[in-house]
Amino acid sequence: MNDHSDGLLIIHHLHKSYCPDNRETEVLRDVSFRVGQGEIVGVVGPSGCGKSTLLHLVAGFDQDYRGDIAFCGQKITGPAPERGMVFQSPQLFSWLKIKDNIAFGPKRQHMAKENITAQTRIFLERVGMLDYMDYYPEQLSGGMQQRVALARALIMKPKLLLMDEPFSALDYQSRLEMQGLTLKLWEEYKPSILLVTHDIEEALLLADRIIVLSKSPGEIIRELSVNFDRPRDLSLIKSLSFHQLKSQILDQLSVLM
Amino acid sequence: MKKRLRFKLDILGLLLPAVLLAAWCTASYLLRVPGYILPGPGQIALGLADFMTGNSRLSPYSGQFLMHSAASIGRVMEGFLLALCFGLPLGILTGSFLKVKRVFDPLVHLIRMVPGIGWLPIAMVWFGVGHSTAVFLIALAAFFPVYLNTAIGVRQVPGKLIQASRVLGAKGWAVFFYVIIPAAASSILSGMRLGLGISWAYVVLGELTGVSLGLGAVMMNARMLGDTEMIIICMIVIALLGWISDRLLVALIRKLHPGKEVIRHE
Repeated sequence: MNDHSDGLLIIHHLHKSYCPDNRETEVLRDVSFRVGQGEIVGVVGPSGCGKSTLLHLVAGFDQDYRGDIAFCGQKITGPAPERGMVFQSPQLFSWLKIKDNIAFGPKRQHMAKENITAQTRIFLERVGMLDYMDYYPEQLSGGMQQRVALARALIMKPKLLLMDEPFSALDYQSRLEMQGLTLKLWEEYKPSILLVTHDIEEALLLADRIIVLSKSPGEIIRELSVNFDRPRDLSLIKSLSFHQLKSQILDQLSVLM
Repeated sequence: MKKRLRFKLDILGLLLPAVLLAAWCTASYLLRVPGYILPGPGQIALGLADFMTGNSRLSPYSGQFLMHSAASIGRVMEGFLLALCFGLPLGILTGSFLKVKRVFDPLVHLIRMVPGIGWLPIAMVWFGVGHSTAVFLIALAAFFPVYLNTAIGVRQVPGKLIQASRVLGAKGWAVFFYVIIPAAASSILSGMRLGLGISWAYVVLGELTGVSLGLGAVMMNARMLGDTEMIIICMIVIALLGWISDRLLVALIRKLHPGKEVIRHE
């Protein structure tokens, strides 16, 4: 179990229940899967299937579960920058300028000041926000804010990036842009990504594998491989093979869910 | 665009005072309301100038503006700082930990129900008449808005925002200093501004008896001498000092914490 050559993240027979008002509600039931080094795994399922809960457990916000979650062969004991996270809403620090939002993580690591400034510039540039470094979050659109959130997570060079329906609050155009940007940045830094989404198209475009969870309690009802060539870009969405796979999956899911 | 808008708002803001001034002039100069009930604007302006510079006429208060103002400002600062010393830490604790909230909240809300003026008699028993009583009343009255707004502000910091900081490597005190406090700053500032405003109300109450220096003392003294003019002058001075101290507080906090939240609060 300690050998993580075949799995950066190994989830083994994971059960999770909540007990509000002493009534136990099962959220996740016997979930087991792996995320390999540099792999993108999409988790899809109906709302309330516990996919966000799954991310919270991997992030280390909650240690109250049964089963095993091993990251780099170690039990997760709390949140850490090596497991970065992008939330559904950007969760930027409204009192900090864009550049200071991105520098927030490196500052907590007590990196050298010049180093932080240089790194911040690099990541501002990577997400195309260099011109906005002195803006405050509320002055930017939702899509731009999410770019900053992505840069803020990636500057920590996470081994695993957790994305919790990261683009679902954006309009179609911005969502496409962000998906393209995610593909581009993944090619560059190759973090493993655990992507929770309800958008099959998004999962197909980004992921190497898709895990389908059932309605609550969430159980894995299917695992699919997505074998489109890399590097991918947005043009993939227009291809015939993409459409075929998508309709095939949708057919299967409508039976299953 | 923005500048023009602000200018327009300023004119609108001056509209009501202008109407009020006109009504005052009408009452004093056309309807001839006697001076011992409502002194005219000119008389007040002269009296105010005399209170400040002290050479235009004979009055027991000529040129004593600085002395009395300094006494009142001193009490306000002492009481307000005391309120901050207790209100900020307790508010932060109450906002952060549900257990602390459960310990403190019922008592605080019970005590809050006694109006500040209801504390005057017992304060006089404990601290005697004078300076200490005034400071105690100010500290007590200003404590509640500071405490309550701080607690609410801290409590309302979104959990997701704290999680976002934790995945970026912020732990313990860093989460507190770099996330919770700035995120709650707007609410904390509101509490401080309310508290400071209340401090000015209670300094007058505290100075009504037992002190010889202070704007409240002057007002009470002037009432006994039938000097209506001086009462109104003190009211104006208190309003101005209160307004200036509020501006200073906002400026200070903006300087310490140049975030958007605080500016938007304006």
